[in-house]
Amino acid sequence: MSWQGPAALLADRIRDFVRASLEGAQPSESFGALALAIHEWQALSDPLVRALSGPMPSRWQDIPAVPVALFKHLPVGTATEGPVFRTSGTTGGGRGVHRMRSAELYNLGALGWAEACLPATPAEVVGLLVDPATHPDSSLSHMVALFEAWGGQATWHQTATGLDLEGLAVRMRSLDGPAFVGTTAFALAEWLDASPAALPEGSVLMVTGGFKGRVHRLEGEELYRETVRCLAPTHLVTEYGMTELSSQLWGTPESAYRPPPWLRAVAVDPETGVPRPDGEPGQLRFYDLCNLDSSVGIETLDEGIVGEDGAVTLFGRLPGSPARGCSLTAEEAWAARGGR
Amino acid sequence: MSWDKVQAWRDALRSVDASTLGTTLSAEGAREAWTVALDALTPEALASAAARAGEPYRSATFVAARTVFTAPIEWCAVLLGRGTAVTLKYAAGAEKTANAFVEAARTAGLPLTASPDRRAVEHSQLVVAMGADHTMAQLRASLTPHQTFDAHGHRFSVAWVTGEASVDPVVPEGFRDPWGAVAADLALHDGRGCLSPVAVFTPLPLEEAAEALADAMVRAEARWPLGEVGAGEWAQARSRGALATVTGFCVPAGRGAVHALPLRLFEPSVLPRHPALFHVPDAEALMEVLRPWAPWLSTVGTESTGAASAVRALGAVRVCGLGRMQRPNLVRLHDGRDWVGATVRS
Repeated sequence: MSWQGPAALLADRIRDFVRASLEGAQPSESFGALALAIHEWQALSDPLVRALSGPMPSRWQDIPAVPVALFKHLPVGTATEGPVFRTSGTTGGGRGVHRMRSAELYNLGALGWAEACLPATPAEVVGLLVDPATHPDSSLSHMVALFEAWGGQATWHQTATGLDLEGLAVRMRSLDGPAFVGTTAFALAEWLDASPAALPEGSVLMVTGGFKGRVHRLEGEELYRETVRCLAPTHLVTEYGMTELSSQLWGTPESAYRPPPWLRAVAVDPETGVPRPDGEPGQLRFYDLCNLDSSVGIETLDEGIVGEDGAVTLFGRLPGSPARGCSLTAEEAWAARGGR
Repeated sequence: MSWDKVQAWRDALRSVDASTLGTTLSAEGAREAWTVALDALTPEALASAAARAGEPYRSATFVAARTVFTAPIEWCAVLLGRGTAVTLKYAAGAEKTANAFVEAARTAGLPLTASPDRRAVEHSQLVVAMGADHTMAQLRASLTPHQTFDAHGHRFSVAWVTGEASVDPVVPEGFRDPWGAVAADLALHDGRGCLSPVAVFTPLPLEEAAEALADAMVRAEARWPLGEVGAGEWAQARSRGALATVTGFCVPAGRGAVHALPLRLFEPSVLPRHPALFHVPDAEALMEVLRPWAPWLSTVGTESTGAASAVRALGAVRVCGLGRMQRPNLVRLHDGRDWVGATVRS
């Protein structure tokens, strides 16, 4: 399925914006103008976005952002066919669903921005992730699978019960050159427990995501230190993405996440939703031009700082999450009832 | 038996200004919660607890959750009254409250100590704890077979409002109308804790009910201002507000709001002063909603006698009047269990 009518025209404009940005050229229109045009169409076509919208905003920063929790409860956007990405659901309350008519814009931006940010693009891809052939709704695996475009083969080593350590060891031994290794933080910690050999020279190791409520002895800085000591990747990079977004941010353990030119971040006051000045911590919102089929504005439950250059320093989940005490949380309730 | 000393302990605690204890509640909110907890220790209630036969434990540790800072009061009162030496294992940030309990106990001559150390549970004959099920499981695994473990996992409560007013003198004046009583229940402890209603169900027209509840919440906030709310709590409150805006409607209520939602979106989320409101045609339909959640249901507040008997059919759920939800009697079911009876060996 592809876009029709006004959506097709918007898709053309987004495609032009992304391509021009990747080529280092000035897009033919501003980020704000395109974001507002996308929002206007989304508010017209999607009752959900319309319900959250007041009068048409004049600045992209005033476009209402759809909270990620709504993706768990309601269909966001108007796509009824096409690719579907789902959240892992590991933090309870059901799985968020991101529908799109086509992954074309997603793929264009994801691959292009990865190539712009990564210091190298090794041909071989090793995913400590679920296989996208069997899990086509994993946006992370979908993104990493795009890197097969670099000419090699991709293999997948995350199973329902944990890492396929044996298969991973075989794969690593078979490499005769550098590899791109994509992993979540938790899978990486699990791999390190198995004392793997160092990666081939020139390899890129991408770490993304948190622990989603699970506990491991290696976290944060300690995880990175152990990664460098054990795996000695030539390049260690970090990635921030989420199912509800079509675009990703890339960084390193020492540097903030860089958004692509078609994605902007804003830190807002969690109580009021009012944007905070650059450099002040707040709840992160993203405006993603490639989110044509859902909502250009997405509000996360993450905390971070947006620098003057637009780069995002991520702190993790907002502190002071709802009371646990002796009160049942929705997450526990869902877990106890076996989810939705 | 040390029941007289417990009354002296209670009286010593009355002189403590709860607003100085470093809770997350507003000064007025902390004082109200403190007074309510101490008021439950009436001579009659303590006598009723004392009358429960059984062999007291020599030692007990109460593992307190962080959210309801007054929760140790009733447990310590009954255990200390029986002559049990009590250790209060307190959570990070609760040191001032723990010290207040200990200092008052010293004045009254009662054997109460406090520690933040996890090892505080190691040598007690009885360990009482509140928290998540997985935390309870971990704690249970750390105890010896000779220790008795009384675990209280997470629960939630709801209110059923039919429009009948409360005449209970325990409910604060100015809040004895049905929506005022619910607002008082929502305000105490800022809605955190298992006795606070996370959701309000009503057969009344939803718009009318939401406006009435919001008005009452504004009244309650004027009397008991909202305390500290975490960034994550605010974010989730705004998120559910958006969900209500899309699927129902949202009525601002001071710094809080009423989220009117369709019934299919019911889930027991604790959001301070942000109740979810649902229309349910009758008590029978309410039971259908609650039945799957019965194992986790602590209290149903209602003025409807018909609903009260129906709720009891769900199992060992506490049923009380509106405005009473967070003002429980000392001797009652706690999470469906006879907690007073559990403070002695049967």
